[in-house]
Amino acid sequence: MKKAFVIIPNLIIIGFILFFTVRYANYKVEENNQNIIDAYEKTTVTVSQIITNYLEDEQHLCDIWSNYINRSADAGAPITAEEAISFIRKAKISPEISGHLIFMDDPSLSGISTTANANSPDDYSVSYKNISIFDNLSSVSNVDGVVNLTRAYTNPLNGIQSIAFMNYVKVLDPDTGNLKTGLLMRVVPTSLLEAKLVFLKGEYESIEVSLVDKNGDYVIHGKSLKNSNFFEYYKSYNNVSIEEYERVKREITGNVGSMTIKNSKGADCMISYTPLESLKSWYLISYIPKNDLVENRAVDWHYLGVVSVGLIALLIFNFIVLMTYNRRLSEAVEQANQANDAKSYFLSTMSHDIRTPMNAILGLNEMVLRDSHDETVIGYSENIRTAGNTLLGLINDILDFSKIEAGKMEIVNVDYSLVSSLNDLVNMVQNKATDKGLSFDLDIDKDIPSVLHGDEIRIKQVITNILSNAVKYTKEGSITLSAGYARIPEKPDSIILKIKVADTGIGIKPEDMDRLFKAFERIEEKRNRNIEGTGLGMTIAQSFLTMMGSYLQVESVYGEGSVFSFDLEQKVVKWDPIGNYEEAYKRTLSEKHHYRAKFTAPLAKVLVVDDTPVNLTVFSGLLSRTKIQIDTAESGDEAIAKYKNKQFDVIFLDHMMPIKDGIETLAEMKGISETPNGKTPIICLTANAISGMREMYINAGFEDYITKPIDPDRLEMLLLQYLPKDKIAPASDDDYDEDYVLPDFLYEIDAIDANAGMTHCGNGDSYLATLKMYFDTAEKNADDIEKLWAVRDVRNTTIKVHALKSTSRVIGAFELGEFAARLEKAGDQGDIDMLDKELPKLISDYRKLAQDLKPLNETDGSIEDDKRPLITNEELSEAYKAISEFYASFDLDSVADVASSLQKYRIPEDEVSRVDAIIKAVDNYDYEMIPGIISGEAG
Amino acid sequence: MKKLIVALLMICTVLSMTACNSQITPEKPEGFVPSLDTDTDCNITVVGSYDNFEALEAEFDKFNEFYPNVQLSYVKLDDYNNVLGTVLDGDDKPNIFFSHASMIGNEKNDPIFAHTEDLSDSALGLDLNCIRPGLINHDKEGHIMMLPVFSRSYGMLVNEDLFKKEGVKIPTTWTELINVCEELKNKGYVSPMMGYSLDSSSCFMYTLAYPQFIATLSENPEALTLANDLDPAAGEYMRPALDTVEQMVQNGYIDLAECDKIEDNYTEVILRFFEGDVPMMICSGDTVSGTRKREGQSEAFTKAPFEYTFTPIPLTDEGGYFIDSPSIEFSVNKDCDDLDMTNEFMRFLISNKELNDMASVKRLITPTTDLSFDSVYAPFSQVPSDRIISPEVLGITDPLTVQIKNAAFRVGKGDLTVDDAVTMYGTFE
Repeated sequence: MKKAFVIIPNLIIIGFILFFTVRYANYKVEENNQNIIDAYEKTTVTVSQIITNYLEDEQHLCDIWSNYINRSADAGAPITAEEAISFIRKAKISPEISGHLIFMDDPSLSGISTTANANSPDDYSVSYKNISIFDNLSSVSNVDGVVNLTRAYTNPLNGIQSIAFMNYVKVLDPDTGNLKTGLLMRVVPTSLLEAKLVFLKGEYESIEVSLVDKNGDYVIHGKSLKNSNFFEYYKSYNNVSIEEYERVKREITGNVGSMTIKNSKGADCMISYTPLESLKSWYLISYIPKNDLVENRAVDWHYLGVVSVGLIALLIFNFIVLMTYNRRLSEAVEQANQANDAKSYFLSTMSHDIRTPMNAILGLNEMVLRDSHDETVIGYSENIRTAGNTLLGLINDILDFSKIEAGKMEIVNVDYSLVSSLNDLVNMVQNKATDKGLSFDLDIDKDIPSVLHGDEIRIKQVITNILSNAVKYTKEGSITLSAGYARIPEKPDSIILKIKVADTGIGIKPEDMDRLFKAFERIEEKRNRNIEGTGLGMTIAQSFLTMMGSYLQVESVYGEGSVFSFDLEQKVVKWDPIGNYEEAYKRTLSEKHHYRAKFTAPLAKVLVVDDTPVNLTVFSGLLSRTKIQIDTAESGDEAIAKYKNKQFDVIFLDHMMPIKDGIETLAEMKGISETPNGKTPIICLTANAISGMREMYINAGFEDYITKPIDPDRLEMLLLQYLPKDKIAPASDDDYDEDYVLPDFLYEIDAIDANAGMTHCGNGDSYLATLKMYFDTAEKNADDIEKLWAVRDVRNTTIKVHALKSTSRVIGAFELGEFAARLEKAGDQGDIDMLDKELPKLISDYRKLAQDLKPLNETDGSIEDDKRPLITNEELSEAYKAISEFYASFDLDSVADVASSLQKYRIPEDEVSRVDAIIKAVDNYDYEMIPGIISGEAG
Repeated sequence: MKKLIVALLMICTVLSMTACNSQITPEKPEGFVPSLDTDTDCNITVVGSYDNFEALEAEFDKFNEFYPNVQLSYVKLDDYNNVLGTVLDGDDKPNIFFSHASMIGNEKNDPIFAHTEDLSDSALGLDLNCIRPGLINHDKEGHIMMLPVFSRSYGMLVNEDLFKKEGVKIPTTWTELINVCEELKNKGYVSPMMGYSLDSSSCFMYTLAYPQFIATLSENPEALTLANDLDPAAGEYMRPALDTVEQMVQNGYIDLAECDKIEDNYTEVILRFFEGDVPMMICSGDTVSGTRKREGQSEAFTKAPFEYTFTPIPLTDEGGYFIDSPSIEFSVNKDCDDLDMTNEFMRFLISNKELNDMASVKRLITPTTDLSFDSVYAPFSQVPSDRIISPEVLGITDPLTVQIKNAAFRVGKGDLTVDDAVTMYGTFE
């Protein structure tokens, strides 16, 4: 696990915690601040009450003055202005407060004051001519309790900023004796009003209280609020739209509340506002810098630092702990990996070691099946094949499971014929079902499209597993394979393939359903202990279906049977319906016959390399019907030598060989430039079948690979794929001679194995032709050997014995062949004594065999009835060319092989003599004559 | 890996920072170095006649960057001229008060000047050189009792975009002015020039006549004496200025009926100009000070803004005059509390930067030597020095201005002929 995967989430979590902490702290601060703001608003309301009370009190005192004056007038004893002022001088207590009695009908708005002008101690006159504070005199009322107040203004007598409470009074005009109306003003310095707010200083040190009228003009002006109009001030320092400006105006003149605004320094400040009760159109605005009112929301860095360090320390601690555990886990993983590697190695070894002998078993068994005519033997052989296939199935299951477990199983989609797949499935199951006495029924929708696109192999494997299980767990009754389909409206080029397998088997208990898909679990183990299987079949099937986007559904009634089904989306390649499959299959069954090769390729040359001779035999045997010329090598070095000199069409190379394995051999081959096999495909022959092997072989340079035991069909398909197309001919019925009956006398000759000879020669006709040729040349050859030995020509005697060895083996005269081989060896070693001693017996045996073959001349009729295929001119030219090339390279064995292969064909009339001459030259070891025969200069 | 961790820690930090508030730290004005204890705690009050003085209040804020505990406030005094003396004598003495050049020489103001500090004292450290010399008044003893914070002049607002649209060059000489007015009139402009005309205060007649009259007097020292003495003989020197007023009205370059629709000499003048169809609006610099704030108040200007400047009226073929008068001046009350800090504030304020800043906020003409800070006033900076006249330096008195103001108003209104007005010099009140 990468460190980043631990550190990054931790850091994100730390970041989140810090973020949350700060946000939460800020939230709490905001909440606290809101409480403070609420309290501030309440204080503002309280202040407004205090101010209102104060103003009402002052107004009340003004009322007392005016009431006294007016009552005097009302009582018929009006007092003069001087008397009124005199009264007020006596009545007022505070020296800061003065009374002004102004006569509004005087153009200079002059009158008398209770206090003298500061600059003229004797001057009590006062004038408001140049002070515009009487704009709203119409609202001045003498009703008790109604506050009639001016804005703050400069007292013209002492220059002190003051406010004045007003009432109209009626005084006597001493000049006219009439009553005249004057405006009585109780002039109060604003400092007195501000003094009432001293109590606020303890709680809000920097609070400033302002009174504004409805236009925003200050009545009392807090010092921090600039301008002469609050709203102008707000607009100057707060960049707001006209709409917002109007909203703020309405808010302040209409409600109780608070808001944050920018002051002239651009700093946030809080204003709280409330209308003054009992005063029309006057509003109290209390101002305070926001920082003085509420806590700064800036982060407490000390706190944040401690939290950060703590969290990072925790991260480091956790990281160290995790690293420690990770190290231990890594060690455990290492051990587990080693164990897994051991398992893989075991699987690989098991695969190889089991498959190698299985190749021999199944391959040779296939030979037996093909060649045997004894029903008992064929029966045994069939059982071997069944058991072998079962064993292979078990191995394949384990290998598949290991692939799935390792995540190396891949779905490979290809175009496939549904009929072909069904054939494979039915062929696989039909026999098993029949063997158990079960009825195997088919219910195949005739309209299913014939060619689909999907992973045919895995689909077949799934169905095979289900069908195998059905056969295994059904004692009597039937097994029904159903296939149907449904169209997908939204996917016009695809269908849902519906597969269902129903059996009348033992069924599954509901409580066992869950265990059905568990690896290595076998339901009712005791009851089914005799049923072979690994317990992986359903697990693998389910895994494959999951990988293909489906799943296996199971319905079962215990004791009555089960139905396994699945739906699989498949693309359609050809919409042609498959037709009535059941009928077609029945017809096929009725026409079933033995194995037939898919093709013939007599001119094709294949090299197969395997260190196990029996495998070479099996390989050759499996391809014998194809008439391919098969050359073998038992080691890498031998293969390389042949690779250099002889041209092959395909090379099969075993992987696991001593000294130089297949991959090393391949690498060496690829490094050889002087070879006729530069473009020859090399296919790996291997018993390794575990996951990943294919990739390994392809990467190593192999064109393809085939596993052992060799599947004959797969082998023929591979050859069809890789052989040159011009060397492939269709198989004809004439090629098959399982029922060919050799003359009886041949079976009575002890010295030959007629069946082996026929196998070697490909068919009965060829065999008989070969025998006849053997017989025709026997006497001359025997005489030649005697003559040569008489003159002690050891070399040529040895060559003649070598030829006798080969021809004897070809016709199945193995003892004579071995005898000749021993003497050939003696000749090669110059063992004259042995030749002296044994050669007469060899010649004697040779002649005796020829004598035994004499009846061949009496069966000319059958021989004349030549069923061999007619060789084409091209093939014949190719054969001549091959013989010439082999001769040129002194590969006399290959010359003999090609010459021998010509005997398997009928030769055109005009070439018969030439071919016979070549064959005779080979039989007589007159190889030096061959170029002349081919060129037409000899023979 | 290290980069990854660092990047994540940075992300964490940034995320955390999102929860934080940024704090505003105002910049300290450069150049000024405090000379007193910056922790000094005191109050400074400036009294004056302005309803609003946001430009000064902005300076308070800047001063507070150096002296955060000094509380500065501006208080408007009602009936300023009458009450100032009382206030200065009172208990609550202001530290700084508005003064005017016209206060000098009037005995009535002696009690005021009794409180006034001599600002010429070099110990105060005031940068007097930053102020145009013609704007500083020295008394007989050479004392400086007041220093201008704004200056005043006379001219006309010019709608530059309108001139461009009509393809007409902005006039720089009298002949050009006449020709332009004629051309614009022909193009359908009823009154190519306009101005306030309802009363003599700040009326266009005065604004048109005053510079020319002062220029005439400046060329005749004897005439100046006569004029200051209100001698009727000085009336003749008004004639060129009054002829100009009469000619402009009679030729129809200024349509009185249109001008009479402007109801006040400040806001309405500006708003009428912002309508966009007035090529030239005659007014004083004080009126121009209100333009910036009223740009947003004018619906017409908001919809179709245009470029404009304030330029001297080209009354001669050599061009116009820059009548450079102090507007508001500051005097220091030497009897106030915290005089040291008051002088410190004055030292802070009397500088090119702060005076220009104040003038910019108020949009008045700065008293400093640098006139180019505001593009609207830029034309005045191009007036040659020989055409810059400082009435205060020249010795123009208030009574003299009353004469020319009334004479021009009444001639412009058609109430008097030029001849009558000339003969009536000294009798106007």
